[in-house]
Amino acid sequence: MKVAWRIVYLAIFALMVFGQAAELRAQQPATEEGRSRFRTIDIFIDSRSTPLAAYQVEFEATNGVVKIVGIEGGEPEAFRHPPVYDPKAIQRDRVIIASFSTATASTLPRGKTRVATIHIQVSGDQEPKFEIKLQTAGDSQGHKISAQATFEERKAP
Amino acid sequence: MKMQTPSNQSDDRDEALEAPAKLVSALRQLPGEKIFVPPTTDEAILRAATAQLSPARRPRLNWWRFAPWAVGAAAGIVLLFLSLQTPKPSPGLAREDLNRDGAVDILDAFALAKKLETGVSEVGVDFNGDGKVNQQDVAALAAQAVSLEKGGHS
Repeated sequence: MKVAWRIVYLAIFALMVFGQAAELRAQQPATEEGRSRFRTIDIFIDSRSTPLAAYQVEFEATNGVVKIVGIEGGEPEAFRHPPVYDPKAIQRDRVIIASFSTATASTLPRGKTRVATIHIQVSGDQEPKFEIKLQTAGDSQGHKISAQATFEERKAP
Repeated sequence: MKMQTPSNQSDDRDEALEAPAKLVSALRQLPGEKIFVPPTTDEAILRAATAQLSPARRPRLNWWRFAPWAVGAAAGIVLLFLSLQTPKPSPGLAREDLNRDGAVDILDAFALAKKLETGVSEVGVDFNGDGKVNQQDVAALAAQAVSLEKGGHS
């Protein structure tokens, strides 16, 4: 009889332990369920033959599954430092980045140049969609120039 | 017909006038006694006539009552004149829009940085209000350009 009671107690205890574990698992956020991933987006400005001294672009993820988690500078020396951005953009899906260099025109980049990199966190299975818009770009004299802004997702090594 | 000059002297001379017979007979039938008019009635008529015929008195104007209104109107005119004389900033152009292209963006920060580099002293744009124009104002201007609150490109 005592053995039967022990078995009942053990069964109840086991049920309680498994129940708590299942409850904890259910409370975990979706991003921790293995469907969250980080991506790297490179931002390019193509100023063609004009030396690029300043740029300002707006980058936005349009389908609500992206959070911006970090922003860093670009490739050429003139834009190596991280661009200026509103700190409120972190953990949101929209940012305006801008940078300039007062260096001489001969040292400024021309053509398609990687000016910044944006790190994002994507949640869920949905593929993120992005939009980029060049707000302004300027030459070494501060004059507006015609340029094109693009982005490319960096391939994982 | 004999012409007579008008006269108001005696009745005898009046009889010499050649007036119409009807008028003469009517005048002769009038009572000869004088009508008694009491002096109080005379005085009352005189007072009424004086009051009626004397020039109307103009009401006195108290100019001091209008003094506050006059001062206010003068001040308004002066203010209007001053407002017309004071140069107004062009509509839509913010103080931070240094290159006057209608937008506050990174090119304005760039323009300020270039001016500071070349040592131009008449910049006069202390955006962070610390009494100096330096790189911190450039940073403040750049931060305003990328602010999400105002859309970043105004």
